[in-house]
Amino acid sequence: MPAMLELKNITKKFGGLVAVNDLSMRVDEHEIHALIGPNGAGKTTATNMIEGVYHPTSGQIFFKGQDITNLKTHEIARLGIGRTFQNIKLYDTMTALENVMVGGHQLTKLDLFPSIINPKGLMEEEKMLKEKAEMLIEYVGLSGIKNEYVKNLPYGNKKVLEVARALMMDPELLLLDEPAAGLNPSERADFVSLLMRIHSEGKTLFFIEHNMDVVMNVSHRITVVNFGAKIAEGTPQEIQTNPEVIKAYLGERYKVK
Amino acid sequence: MKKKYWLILLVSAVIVVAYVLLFMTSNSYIQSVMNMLLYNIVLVLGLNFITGLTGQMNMATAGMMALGAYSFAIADTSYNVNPWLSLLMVLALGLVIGRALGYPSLRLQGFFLSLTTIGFNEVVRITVNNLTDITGGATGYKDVRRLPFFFQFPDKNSYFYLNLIFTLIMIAIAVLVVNSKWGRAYKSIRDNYEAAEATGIDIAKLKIQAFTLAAVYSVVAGVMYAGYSQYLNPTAFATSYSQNYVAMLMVGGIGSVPGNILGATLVTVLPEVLRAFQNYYWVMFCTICLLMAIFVPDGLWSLLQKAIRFVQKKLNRNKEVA
Repeated sequence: MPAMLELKNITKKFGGLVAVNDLSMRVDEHEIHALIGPNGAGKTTATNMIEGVYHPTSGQIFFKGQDITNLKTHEIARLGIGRTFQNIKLYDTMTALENVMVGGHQLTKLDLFPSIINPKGLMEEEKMLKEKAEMLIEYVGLSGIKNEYVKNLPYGNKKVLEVARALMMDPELLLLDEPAAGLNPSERADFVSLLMRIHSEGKTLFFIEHNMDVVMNVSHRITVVNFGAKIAEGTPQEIQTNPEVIKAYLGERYKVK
Repeated sequence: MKKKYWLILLVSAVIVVAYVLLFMTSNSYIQSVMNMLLYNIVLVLGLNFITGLTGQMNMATAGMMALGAYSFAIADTSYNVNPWLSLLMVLALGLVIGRALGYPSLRLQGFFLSLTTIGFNEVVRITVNNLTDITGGATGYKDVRRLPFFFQFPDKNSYFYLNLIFTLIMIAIAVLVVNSKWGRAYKSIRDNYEAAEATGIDIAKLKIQAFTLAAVYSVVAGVMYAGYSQYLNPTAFATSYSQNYVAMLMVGGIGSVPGNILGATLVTVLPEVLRAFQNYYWVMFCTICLLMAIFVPDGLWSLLQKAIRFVQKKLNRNKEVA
């Protein structure tokens, strides 16, 4: 069975700087996989390559056995990879509900001209999108603020809203770039339980995170990168006892365990 | 919900009837301003797709309109093509212009796109000015044949009704596009193109689509203009007019159809009202526009909407108390 996501020897160079160096990893179906490492280790660059924002200098990326190395971002997204961003990227001039509805744009079939001459079909699609978005907003627990403009929402709500927008695309794999960053402990606990709920519905999660509480408690497998190269991979227990990881990233505090 | 739609429909019908009545009872000067307003509304609605929703500055509105107006006039009058067929040809031309301008917009952003579109506008104007044999050059193109309204009343007044019908159709299409998934998708590109891409939106396709919509609206406005005034002159399509349409968009309200109509109305009518101040009228007009840009950057429509929401909240509160 092909892996949900597989990176094969990918390297990315920006001029002389090697951001990602010969990185290989594999995310299995229905797995929660974390990517950790110090700042500047190339984690976000790796995610951006999976999403097609950059194309690797060399190496290949496979999604469910299909080569997606040189596809465009929107094509990759349509295959079933949803994404949230490190620094929130929502549509500020729209309401929360509309933001989620945009996520469903690619699911609709009518093109521009057909939708002008067939307003009824357009309205039906509109109704479908709205119902689905309302359901998802309820699912993530934001139905109270669905008609608020996004620019007026607090940070925590925005983070959750991004997840709802990504879910709107019916993704099989969800890429989360630092989902817990900037959340207070109780918000973080809510967020983690939301992620677990999403996972229990059969989605595969791949996330970058600095908060070790989240990483160690949630993930099935962890990949550690430093200076663009993989230095370790394994279960949370293996990673916590790996001397190289402790030296490069975790610090002495974790050694005591 | 149903009730709301009927209310909007009723209000629009009243406005249209009032407009026709005003037209019938006024003199030819006011009539020509009223007609100008119609094609300005169509132009601003078109500009709204690309500049208002998608956020790509387009300073070529007047140039696109010129292409529409001149090609209609030349096909219809010089070459005696059936006017309805010429209209179709002009629409096809709109599709071509939209693509021609849309592709550069994939590579260019911000100021550079503005400059490119200004360049396009000037190229069109200068070409029209110098192709004396075909376009009449600086002396203008005279006696444009009109589209036959009901196939028999080609006079100025009946042409106004034809333009009114065109405008209503264009407004209806704009309402449909702006308030559906298309409007949201265009806005998502303006607000955050990276997120839009990551949710599976094909930015390149939608940008070209928005440019094409703008071009089609502009060439239709060109046909409306050519048929009504029956005289075309390159100075009527200078870049300064394109700026005027951006001003209309800004004053009225970016991204909403009623806002566009409001903006087109104000910026068309205001200079005519201020004409009484003779030498000072451009100063006053520009000052008003500047003040609006500073204090009401989202346009007058947003102000009106806030007022409506405020009143609604008050009413709801009163209901709860009672």
